[in-house]
Amino acid sequence: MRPAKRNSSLYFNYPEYAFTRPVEMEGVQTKHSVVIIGGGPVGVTAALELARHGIASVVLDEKNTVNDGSRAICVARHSMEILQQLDLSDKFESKALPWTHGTSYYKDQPVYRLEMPHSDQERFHPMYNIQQQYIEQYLIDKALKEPLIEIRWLSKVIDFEQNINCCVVTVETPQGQYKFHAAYTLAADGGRSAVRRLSELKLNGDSYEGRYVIADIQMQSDYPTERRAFFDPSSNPGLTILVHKQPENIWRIDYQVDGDIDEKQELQEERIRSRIASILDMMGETGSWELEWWSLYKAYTLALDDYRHKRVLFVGDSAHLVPIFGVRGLNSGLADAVNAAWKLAYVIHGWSNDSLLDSYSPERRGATLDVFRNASKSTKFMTPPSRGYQLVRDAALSLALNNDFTQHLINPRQSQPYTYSESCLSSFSERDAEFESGPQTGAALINQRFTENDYLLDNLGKGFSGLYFTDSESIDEGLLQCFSELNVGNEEFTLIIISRDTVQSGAKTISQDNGHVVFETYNAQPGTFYLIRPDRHICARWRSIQTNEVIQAFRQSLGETL
Amino acid sequence: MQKHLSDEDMESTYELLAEVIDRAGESGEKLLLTKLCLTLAHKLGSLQEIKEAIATAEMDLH
Repeated sequence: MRPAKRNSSLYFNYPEYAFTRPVEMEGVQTKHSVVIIGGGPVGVTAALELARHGIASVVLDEKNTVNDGSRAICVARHSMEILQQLDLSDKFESKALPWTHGTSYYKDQPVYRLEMPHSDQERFHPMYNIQQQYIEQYLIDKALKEPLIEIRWLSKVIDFEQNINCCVVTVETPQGQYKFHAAYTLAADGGRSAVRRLSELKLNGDSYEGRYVIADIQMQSDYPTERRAFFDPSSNPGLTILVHKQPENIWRIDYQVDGDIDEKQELQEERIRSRIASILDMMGETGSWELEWWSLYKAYTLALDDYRHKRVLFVGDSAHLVPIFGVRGLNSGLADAVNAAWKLAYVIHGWSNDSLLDSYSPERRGATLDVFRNASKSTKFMTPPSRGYQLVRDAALSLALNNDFTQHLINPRQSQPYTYSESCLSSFSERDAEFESGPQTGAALINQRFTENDYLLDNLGKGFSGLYFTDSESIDEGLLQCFSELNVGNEEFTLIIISRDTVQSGAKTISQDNGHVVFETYNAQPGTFYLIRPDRHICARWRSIQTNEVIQAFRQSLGETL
Repeated sequence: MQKHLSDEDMESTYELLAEVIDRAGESGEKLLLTKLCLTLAHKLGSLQEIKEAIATAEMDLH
């Protein structure tokens, strides 16, 4: 909701996209490869990733602009690495506010200092704050320049069915209805997914006690960008507040409201203003401020039992709703989009058979369940569901004022990429077990700095990649033969050869002084090899490369049953 | 072999607990006792023993 006297944003000009009559309304029969329902950040990321792999898609969105109001604001490092592959990370970095730290307060006194894992080996910060409006706009701007993506605005899905060969979508537009066919559907249509409803599928899971008002205000303040959580503060006794800084001097204030209070009354503008005024007073902010937007939020952990429904893959909120406190909604949605997109592209190209898509749900639903485990703990800490939880939470916070041993209970468990160790695409767990450390099979690659502005992840290609660690200047014939078999269609295998003083990637050889760190991070010795999927997750790894096993692992990660 | 408090130390503990509960007052006693439990659990260092202690305390409450 916006303040009564204002109907536009204080800082964001919402674009207006025009409806264009599609060819289907002129009687042309079409069959598209992929239709993406929902032009939010997850849907458009999927479209861009498909296009990167050479697959065209049609994106349908019922609006003619980006999402309004206070939505996602935190982009995790893993998401920036996804955006880097879409050539968008520079754009995001030019606007977003990076952060590494957070502070939790109990009764207005600091009790916990959050330090997100960070080092000079990373190109990106652990977290960035940026409003979803910008996230969507940057993605859409990029998609509008991409010939393989057609976004159809003001296009609402009113019927959806699928048969053995294709999906049939009925679309309502300002100029009437039409039907069209697509081989596959990505349902990125959010928490109230029409595709989910029309497919008669249901989210299952739990809802949590406690409601929060989520408000954005504009205010000049020099306070640095970090996550602040206030437990039982003087401004809202017994309740919890979360504060984040965003670009354009926008501040996100999430405050818990009392369980007994009437929602309607609590959401009245005057009530919101007086609550925020007392919170700012508690925080020591004395400057003027303006109210941008507010809404009411309740935490859920809900998910579909299977994220694949024949020719439909559910991505983002249509597949799962997670509590906001670990900033995993958007971030896990982007990981869904990329996971689904490369697999779909490989199947449509004919490089993999359809069974590759069966790995989507176990991998991404596994990630959701992991999120649920963490989020359920952090949600119960943020908003204790019973007297018992309340008392123990307060005891842990009170002890933390003067002791260290309850600190980890206060850790907000922020978003981390999930490891697909159980996936059918991951293999050679016995080889994985030969390592003492380093990113394990199924994990996302860890970035490493080669030179001042050249990092490991910058060097990845579109298809599969490999990290080969060596102390020799040449690579033997047998290995070269093995690597030459790792191309898929027109997506060449990218080999990164790392020695202690050089890195060779494609035609480029660079000197680096960081080799010992890279070796250590990857627990490598000369001969160590990591095989990497197109989405930067590790298929398998060998302390000493075994070429026959590399080929097997490669085939397995393309969905072949061996 | 498990180490227990001597009878004498148990008697002192009895007194100390009574006094600290009185000092905390009705508004503070719940928080105090919960903090005490978390602190003792930390010092005890064994989840099994904590579970046994919880079971012992939970008996015959009402």
